[in-house]
Amino acid sequence: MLMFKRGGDKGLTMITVSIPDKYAKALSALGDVQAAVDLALQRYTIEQITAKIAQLRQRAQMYEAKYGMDYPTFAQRIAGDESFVREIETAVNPLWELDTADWEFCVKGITDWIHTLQAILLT
Amino acid sequence: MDPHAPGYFADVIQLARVTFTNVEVEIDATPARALLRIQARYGPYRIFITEVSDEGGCKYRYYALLENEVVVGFDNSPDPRALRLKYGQIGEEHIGEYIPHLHRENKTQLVLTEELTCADFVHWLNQQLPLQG
Repeated sequence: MLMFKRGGDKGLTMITVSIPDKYAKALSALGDVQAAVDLALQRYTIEQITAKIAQLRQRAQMYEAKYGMDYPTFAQRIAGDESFVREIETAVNPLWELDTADWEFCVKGITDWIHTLQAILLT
Repeated sequence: MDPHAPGYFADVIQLARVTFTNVEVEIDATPARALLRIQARYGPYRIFITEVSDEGGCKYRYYALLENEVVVGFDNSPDPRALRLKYGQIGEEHIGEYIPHLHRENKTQLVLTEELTCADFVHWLNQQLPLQG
C-alpha cells in the first residue's frame, strides 16, 4: 500500500490517504500518480456535486408544484401578505413554515453548490 | 456553515431519540448551510422539527400535531401575523425578519416568544403535554 501525503503548498490541505496497491501499481505504470489522483478527485467531486444539485432541484420543483409558484414569489408573498398565509394554511398546508425552511435550503443550496463547482472548474 | 451546527444537530438528534419514538432523521448540508429534519412520535402526538443553520443564524420549527390539528408550534419564520403583533403594522423594513412566536389551538392563536431551542421545546412538552405512565 502506498501512503500518499500532500501539504505545505498553497491551496493544498495536509491529508494522508492510502491507495490500494492495485491502483498505485496501475497508475504508476500509466504515468504520474499525483496527476492521476488529482484528476480522479476532481471528477468524483464534480459527479457528487452534480448529483446533489439535481436532488435539490427536484425537491425545489416539488415545492413549486405544491404551491404553484417559484420560491422568490412565495417568500415575498408569505412574508408580507396575511390573507395569502391564511389561504395557504387552509388550502395547501397548515405547516407551510416547515416547507418554507426546506424550500429555501434547496434554492440557496443549489447556488452554494454551483459556486463550489465553479471554483473547482475555474482553478 | 456555522462550525457549531454539526455539534448542535448531534445534540438535537440525541435529545429526540431519548424523548420521542419512531424518530426519523434527515440531515443535508452545503458548504454554506445545514438542514436537520426530524419526524417522530410523542405519545399520541406527531412531532415535526426542522432546523436550518446558515449565514442568517438559526431557523427553527418545532411542531406537535394531534391527528391533523396543530396543538403547538414554535417557530421563528417571518410570519406577517407575528410581524403585525410585534410592530403593529407590516412595514417594508421588517419584512423577512425572523420573529420567534408560538401557534396554539390549530393556529388560531399566535403569541410572540423568546428565541427557543429544541431543548426548550422538549421542556415545554414535558410540562404542558406530559405523557401518562
